[in-house]
Amino acid sequence: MEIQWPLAIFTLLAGGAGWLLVWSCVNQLRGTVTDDKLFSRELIVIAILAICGGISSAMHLSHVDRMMGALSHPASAIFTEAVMVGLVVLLCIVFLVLLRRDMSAGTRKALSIVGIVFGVVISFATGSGYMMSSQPNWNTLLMPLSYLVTASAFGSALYLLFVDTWKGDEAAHGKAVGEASKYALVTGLVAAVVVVIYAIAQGVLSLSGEPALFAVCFIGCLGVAAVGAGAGKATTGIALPSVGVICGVAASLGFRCFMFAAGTSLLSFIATPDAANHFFATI
Amino acid sequence: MSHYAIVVNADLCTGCMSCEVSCKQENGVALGQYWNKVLRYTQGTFPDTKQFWLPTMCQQCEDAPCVNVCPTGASYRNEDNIVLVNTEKCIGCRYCMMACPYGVRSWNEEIKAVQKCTLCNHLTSVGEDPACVKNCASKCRYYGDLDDPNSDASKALAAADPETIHHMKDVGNHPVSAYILTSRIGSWEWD
Repeated sequence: MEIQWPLAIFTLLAGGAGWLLVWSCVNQLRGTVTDDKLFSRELIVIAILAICGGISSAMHLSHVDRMMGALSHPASAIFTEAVMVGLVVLLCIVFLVLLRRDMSAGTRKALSIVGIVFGVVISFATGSGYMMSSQPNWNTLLMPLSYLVTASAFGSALYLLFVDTWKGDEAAHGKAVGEASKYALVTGLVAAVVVVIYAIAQGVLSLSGEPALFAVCFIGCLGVAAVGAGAGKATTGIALPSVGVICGVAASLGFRCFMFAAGTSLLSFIATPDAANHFFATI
Repeated sequence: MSHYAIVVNADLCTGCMSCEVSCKQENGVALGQYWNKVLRYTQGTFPDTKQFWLPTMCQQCEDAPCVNVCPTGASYRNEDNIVLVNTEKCIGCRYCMMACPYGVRSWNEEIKAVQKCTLCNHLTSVGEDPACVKNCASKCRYYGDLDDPNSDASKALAAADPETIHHMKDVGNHPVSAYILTSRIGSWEWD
């Protein structure tokens, strides 16, 4: 199937926003970095990523003006994704408002737990919509799971970038970088393993053109893990975390492109006809 | 509940394309697009070969994936249980095209909406047959409610050897349209 770039970019950005939210909220629960300015910057970037993702998704549509019709079918995957983007942005706004009003520790903890749930759910939901019986290569739980783990690798790299470039208390900084680098190391390795399992289980590496896309994804996953391993040893400034973000994009976007390239309909008589079978092509 | 569909006797189809042409003419289907397409299949190796034609179109699935995934209800079932597309509601996400197990939906570039076989609803709703059925030169297409034993489609299936009746591969969507193909003419490869 042709790569649907607006959808690939939507799920890249929404998933990245989700997992940056996850780690930012985990930090709120752990209390490693207590600088609300850093948290505010993270929340603003999360909201921007989610909104840009939503805009990218809308670029895929021909009649955005009819989108309100989605209210008539609230169980559809597209509606679920739109709601999740809206909820993530809303949570960021609520957090930002409450940060300015000295929210209580209890509220901070409760909203952080909500943020972690939203972050995980949005990265899974953007992939679960592709599970359909008409697409045998997509119709597996490994599909949304791969969306989730590659998004977690990208989100971890983003979080590492934020933490590593944060100028604050030296002890807290070192501890935070150590935690963020562990997140990157673990999510990168887990993502690499899960996408390999998906590719093997579905047998989708044999088709032409796909190994290159899979390689981009796999190397990106390992890149995030390597950056995580390297960043944990020393404060490195912006260079290494930036490489991590690039690897995160490669992991996440690479998988989404690979998935579209691996998409083959059960049967395709008219939409993408097999020319060899058409009367005029063979007579 | 009614199950309106087309039954095709592939034993009789001569590949004349009358159904394909009349469908395009009746419904104004754009150049390069099809709601109904006749495909030629050759099986075996020379000199032991078989050849037959397979007219393809919306299979009117009982649990239609296209209806299930449509975010706006543009793909829907009408009061007669026929799967249709309301192009005025289509937002052009093309999710239904991905979800269709048979790839029988087409994208209309002009109106930026998905379209497919409507069973010529404008004709059948007033008691006529779909254009493809009316214009079939070899009379191998039958239309009707498969729950009504007196419909042409039900009669065609009743007259056929049950072993020669086939459906497209069912992945939980339960296609309703049926094909008649005897092994003498060709082997059914799509179940």
